[in-house]
Amino acid sequence: MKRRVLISVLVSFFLLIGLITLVVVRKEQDKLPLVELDLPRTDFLSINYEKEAMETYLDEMTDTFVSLFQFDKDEYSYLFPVGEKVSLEIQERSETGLVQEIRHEAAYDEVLVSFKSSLSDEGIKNAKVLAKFDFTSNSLDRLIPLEYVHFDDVPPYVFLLRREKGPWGYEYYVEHVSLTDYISDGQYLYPQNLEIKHPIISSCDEPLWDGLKVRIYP
Amino acid sequence: MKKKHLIHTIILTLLALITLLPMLFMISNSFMSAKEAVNRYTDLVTPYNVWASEGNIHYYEVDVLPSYLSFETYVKAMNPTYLRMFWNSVLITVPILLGQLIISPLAAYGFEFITWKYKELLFFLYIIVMLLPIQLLLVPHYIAANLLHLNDTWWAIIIPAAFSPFGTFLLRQHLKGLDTTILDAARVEGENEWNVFRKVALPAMYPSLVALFALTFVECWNIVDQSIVFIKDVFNEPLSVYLARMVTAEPGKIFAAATIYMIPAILIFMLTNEYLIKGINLATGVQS
Repeated sequence: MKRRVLISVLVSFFLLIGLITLVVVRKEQDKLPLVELDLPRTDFLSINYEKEAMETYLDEMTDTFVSLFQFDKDEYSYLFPVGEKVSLEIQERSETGLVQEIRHEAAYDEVLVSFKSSLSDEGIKNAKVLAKFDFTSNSLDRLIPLEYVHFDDVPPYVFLLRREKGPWGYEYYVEHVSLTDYISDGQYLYPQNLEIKHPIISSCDEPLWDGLKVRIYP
Repeated sequence: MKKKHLIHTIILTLLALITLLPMLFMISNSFMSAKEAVNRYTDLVTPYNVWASEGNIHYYEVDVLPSYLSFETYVKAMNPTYLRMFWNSVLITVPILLGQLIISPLAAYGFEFITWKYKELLFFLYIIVMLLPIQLLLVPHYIAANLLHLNDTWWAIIIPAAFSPFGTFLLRQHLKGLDTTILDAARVEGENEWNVFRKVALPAMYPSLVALFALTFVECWNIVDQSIVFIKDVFNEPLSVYLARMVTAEPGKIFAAATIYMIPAILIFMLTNEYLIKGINLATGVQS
């Protein structure tokens, strides 16, 4: 009789722990924010960009004209590396310029483009000089759809989802990744020096932050 | 004579109380709140335990009873990690028990009643292995597990433990006291060796098997060294190792966690208590 009671107690104890396990693990999962995911896309990046020169002057030493373009820090100054050719439009005439120098100021970047022109010195000074940038990239495989990028902070950022092993299978954590160096064409954002190893969090009903434990749709 | 008996009773009661004191202390303290446990038993100086500090010295305020009754730590201890470790312990212990209870009686019977060359030499080696400390055996076990690609799996713990020589030794000692005429009678009746083992020797070994079950359970339930050596993934560790981690990581919950951990061992002991003593006595020849 005593043995039967003890066996019942022992079996009940393990059953109870089993039941508690089911409830606790389920409850722990249910209270986590639910996120939806997307993967970085593979596509072409297409940028058509124009910038008007601040001033143009004649450099008498080299006998070339020099146009000065001022870019805000979040603009595309990186599309004009030193030594690269640039398409220019001067009074509806197409010319080719060469990026001579880039000056990094605190609030903006200055790009100096030199070119030769048959226009007179006075004519150039009053002319509207436009630098044109038509760029279609090769197929890129780390494109982040712009709708997943958060611009409420500088630099903009994106939330990725990191997976780690937990006591009852995998656990998912939010990873805040700042995007400091990127190209965007209005549809996608291409992070230049960043490897995206995890899926992107596309949406969540609750506020997210770095290290937050979340759950995903199965 | 009566006076002598009374003195013996008092001394033994005192010794029993001293033995039971840590367990009672743990159970009673498991009913204190996590905050109280932290305030009393950690080095952390808080506004609630600042009186127990003098300069750089912080005293532990040991007490048998909590300030007020709380089940908070039991609820908190039942977190997913603790529960995972609990089931890890179960999943390590059960296969070892099954292995021991299948292999040991067969091996003991083979050593005692089957005649084959070098059996005494092999049994002598069994005893040598049994006498070696587990820490010494961990090195060859580790090398073997590595060769078999079993490291970081429970099998690295389960297989050597299932083949532990202690069970074979215990049961063989028991079988030495068994009247062989019963076995001969069964053979004369035309039973083959397997039936002799199954129908005669195995039932006769029952008390020692129960004792072996209880002793193996306690040994496996409290396994630490093997787990530290073989298991790299923290989520595959048994509860015995995780409890040691809890002392520093989650001191508020440790008493409740340890109390829950202790319950199966106590229930098994209560269940097998009668056979445990009888089985060991039979195996050691105290009682024939």
